[in-house]
Amino acid sequence: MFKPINTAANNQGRFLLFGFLVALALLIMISDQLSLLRPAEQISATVLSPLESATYRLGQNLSDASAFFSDLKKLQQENADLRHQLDEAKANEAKVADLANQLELIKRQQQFLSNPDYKNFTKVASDVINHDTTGQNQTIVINHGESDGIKRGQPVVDAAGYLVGRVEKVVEAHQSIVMLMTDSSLAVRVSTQRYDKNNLKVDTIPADGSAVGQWQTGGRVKVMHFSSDADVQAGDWVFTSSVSTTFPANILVGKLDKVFKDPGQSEQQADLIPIADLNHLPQVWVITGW
Amino acid sequence: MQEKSINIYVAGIVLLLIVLLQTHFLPAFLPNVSQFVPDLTLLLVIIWSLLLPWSRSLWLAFVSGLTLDLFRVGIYPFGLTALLFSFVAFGLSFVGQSRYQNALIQAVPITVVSALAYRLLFLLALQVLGYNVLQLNTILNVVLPVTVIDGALMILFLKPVRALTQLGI
Repeated sequence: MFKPINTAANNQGRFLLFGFLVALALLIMISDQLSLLRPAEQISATVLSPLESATYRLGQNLSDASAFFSDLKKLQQENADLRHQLDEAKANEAKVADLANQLELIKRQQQFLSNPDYKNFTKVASDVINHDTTGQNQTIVINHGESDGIKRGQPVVDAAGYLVGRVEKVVEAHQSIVMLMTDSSLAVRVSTQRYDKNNLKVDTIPADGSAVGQWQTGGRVKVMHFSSDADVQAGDWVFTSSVSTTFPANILVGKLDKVFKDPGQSEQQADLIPIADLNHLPQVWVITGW
Repeated sequence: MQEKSINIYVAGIVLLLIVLLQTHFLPAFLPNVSQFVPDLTLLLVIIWSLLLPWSRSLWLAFVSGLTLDLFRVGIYPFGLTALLFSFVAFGLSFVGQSRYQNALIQAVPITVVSALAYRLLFLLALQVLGYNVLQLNTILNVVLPVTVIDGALMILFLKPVRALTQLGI
């Protein structure tokens, strides 16, 4: 039934070839770590980039198209509902008040963007050209790199200034990898702030914790290490902490969803909903100085 | 028995298309579930390892890994996938070439075991490089489902890929 191929000579040759390939792979990996392959990588990136970009755009467009067609019926229903709601809003003062609240929220975002600290940031606008292609990490690839002043560890925010992650690796002159805050390798020191239903800041003691990505374990972001007596509740807003040395303070990270304690633990934890839409990031800002 | 052969040009084109599909098309097409994108290049390596003598399959696995590394910008060193694919092809070279080698009944379980070993080695390598990915939850929630997907895809992949790679012999 089986072809007899495992002769001694055959096995010797097989082990020799395998050993040679392993040694070759290790040599390539070490050369890469020592940046000896950088010229070759840059040439190949330049040559392959159009092909990669075209394939990526094709996938994106087909994804958008399929989402559009599958949601068409739902969208039509939503559209009808929205029209109905708009009519009601015109007639209903309560609806107008609701809109006013939304306006206040936008104002608060505007205040955040016009924050003097934020204005002092030096930043680079980058296009997102790919997502993680390994399936093991939550990363995006941006089109700026070493030549643009991008360095490992620099914070990255979305177009509205909400935290996205940080630069994990500068690949070449015009390409870097950004690790998203949902990746379990990324931890950010954060503190909470509370706003009332009128979007006015409530005078509470901010609670400090660490936001850690949970994507690899099927979640989004969890805020850990809130002290047992910290005043935290669902709906609290979460900002980068002033004690963080790797991120500037007061960058909006997200909103607490559910506060809980693990059995036998005194510290509180909470699920966090990131504000930045990490699945649809056409452009980001890399903060190069603050 | 005549040694099985392969048309290297057709194999090269198939490899290029599969790598592009895996690294750029599927992550963009399925952005919300990109962690569950199957490793199509690994399937290719497994099929070649089952079909061809080790003297060819080992080289093809190595070149496939390098091609994949070339197209997917990652946080790990260039050459890592080539190394891991070489391990997979080497392991499969001991399975032996039976007359049932092309049969799905053999290929699917081999794919599941190989894919699982490959992904665990990958996670281990990332962990060694300092990334916090080797977790039980990751294995249960991501690695195992993708391994099952890989095995299921082998049912669709085996015959067409075999036919394409042997085209023009």
